[in-house]
Amino acid sequence: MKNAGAWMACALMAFALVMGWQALTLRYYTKFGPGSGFMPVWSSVLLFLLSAAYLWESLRRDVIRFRDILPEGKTLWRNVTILLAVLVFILIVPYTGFVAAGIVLLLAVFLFDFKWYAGLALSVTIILIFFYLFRTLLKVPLPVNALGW
Amino acid sequence: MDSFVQLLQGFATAGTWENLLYCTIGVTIGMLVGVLPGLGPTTVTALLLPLTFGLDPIPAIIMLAGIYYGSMYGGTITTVLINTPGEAASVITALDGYPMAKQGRAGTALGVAAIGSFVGGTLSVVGLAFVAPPLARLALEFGPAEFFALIVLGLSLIVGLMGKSLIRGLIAALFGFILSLIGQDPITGSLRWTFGQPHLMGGLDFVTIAIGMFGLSEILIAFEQKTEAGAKIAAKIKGLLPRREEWRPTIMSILRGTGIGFLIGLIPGSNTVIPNILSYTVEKRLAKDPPRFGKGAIEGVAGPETANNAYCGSALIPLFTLGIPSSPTIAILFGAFIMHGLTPGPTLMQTDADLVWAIIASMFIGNLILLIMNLPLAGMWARIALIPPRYLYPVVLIICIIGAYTVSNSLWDVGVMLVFGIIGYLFRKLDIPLAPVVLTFILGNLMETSMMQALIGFQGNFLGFFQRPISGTLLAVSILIIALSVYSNIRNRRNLLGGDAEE
Repeated sequence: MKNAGAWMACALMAFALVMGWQALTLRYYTKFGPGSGFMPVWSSVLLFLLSAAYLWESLRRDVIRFRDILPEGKTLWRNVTILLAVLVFILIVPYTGFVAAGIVLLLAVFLFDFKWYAGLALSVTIILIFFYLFRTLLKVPLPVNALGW
Repeated sequence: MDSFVQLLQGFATAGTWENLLYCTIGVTIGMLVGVLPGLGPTTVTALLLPLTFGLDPIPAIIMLAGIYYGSMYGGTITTVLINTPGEAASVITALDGYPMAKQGRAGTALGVAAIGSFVGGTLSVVGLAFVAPPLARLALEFGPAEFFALIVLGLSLIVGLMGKSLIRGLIAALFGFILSLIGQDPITGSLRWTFGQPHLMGGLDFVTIAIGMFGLSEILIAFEQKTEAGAKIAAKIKGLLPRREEWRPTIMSILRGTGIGFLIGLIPGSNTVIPNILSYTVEKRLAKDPPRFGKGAIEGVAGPETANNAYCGSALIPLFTLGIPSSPTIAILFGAFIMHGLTPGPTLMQTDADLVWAIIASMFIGNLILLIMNLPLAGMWARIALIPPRYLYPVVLIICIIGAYTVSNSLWDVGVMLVFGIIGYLFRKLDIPLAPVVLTFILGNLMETSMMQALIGFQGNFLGFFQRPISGTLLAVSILIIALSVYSNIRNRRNLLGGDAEE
């Protein structure tokens, strides 16, 4: 249960199974030669077999446990926060716009290393600089709210 | 002679104020990338690629290429001065560069590295200018079967060289290949693996995957690594040139490094670490007193530093002539070509010769700019490396999001970037190499299309590939390489070259 390599191998096998199952709905062969399902079927089968070999390797030869590769404590929480912050950004940016969502995102990351007011000041400064640099100077489209920011 | 005239025309194009500006921006960013530990050229090229949407193809690709070869210079400075390699290619330089700095010879180490980099970079661009056109003409004779075989050869080399486990290397390659098949089948037009999701009808975007796998995963890993508190610049920089008796061995190392780097760059699937290690090994073998190595031998800096810059120029040859990217960073440059409506390959030198020659000429200019930026400003660049990750990586996170969003102005791409960031992070933690994922992803469609076209010609007969001399030979070599990789894996002798280098 604690073997990270084995879990990854199982995830890859499941991925290969789903993709392979879907690939069977495609035409495998046509009168001109291989059809659109030819490569998907074979690549899924090969990935499944290799993942099975990886599972064997993970269990027998090269055991990598979660505790060996994943961080702990504050570092783990910081990484989880970064991922959640990106997810929150995706969810709120259509309503709040880039500036507000970006500040929330950066603040969540900065709070691990700075006092809230310093983190907020850094977040606001960086986002405003980026907004000006990309949207105004480089004309790069950014997700904005009804007010244009 | 033709090449010379076209090169002069390239200089005229690359020498315009706009292109010079983008070349300078590119090499400066490249220097920054090289200086900052963790941020590799692949990550930064992927991040900045979508931001070049608004530019013309020539300045955009000149800038992105500048990041690529510029990063090779920057890494040396931090390696020599604070013993922190900014990118994988500089790791070998640390063996003798840092001891030289501790002996008060940091200036000489940096001077020799900069001169070697300039000579290696420039000579390999000369090679690129004169080797690429005839090779492209030869490649025009290739049919789908030959292209398929060539791609298989390239991929077998990638898998053979990258990653500590062959199984994991192959899994990475297949994973990337499966991702490339998502969307419309290029021959019949039928939809594959779209799961009813309209966003997947056009397939996954390479840039989004690259930003997630390299950029976001890098942020997560960087926050886990403790910053080197108290890292100090080893010495003041003075006396940039070697002693009189050191000139001859230095020049010879530089020339050997150029040859090694140039030849390795021609091999698809190689990376910048390989010429470095080879050059270092050769220098040590040829030295009269090998025990000096590791204690501040000047050849240990001159050879490898020259080799990685010579590699950069020649690694573009397979891209320009065959349309095959030889490394992840070159794969992102491949993506830049596609994004700007250009198709890398044998026809590129005919249809967009002005662009190719402008890029080649810009590399001469870029190398000169880098030489000028390197020597007097080395101390300043080294201080940049001391920026704490807590300031740097939140900024990189925002660039990742903007870069992914810009691909199609859709939050879908930001979501895809997030998913591939997590996958990239887990892959890296489990020693599953990322390089084969991106290389097979970018080559997957081309490989499938050429295989299908060839099979239609062979009326479905797979043996047809072996009945044509070029494709048969290339496939036989691929099989041999894979067999050797399997053998070495079984004997558990995958060596130093087996590391996953980002470049």
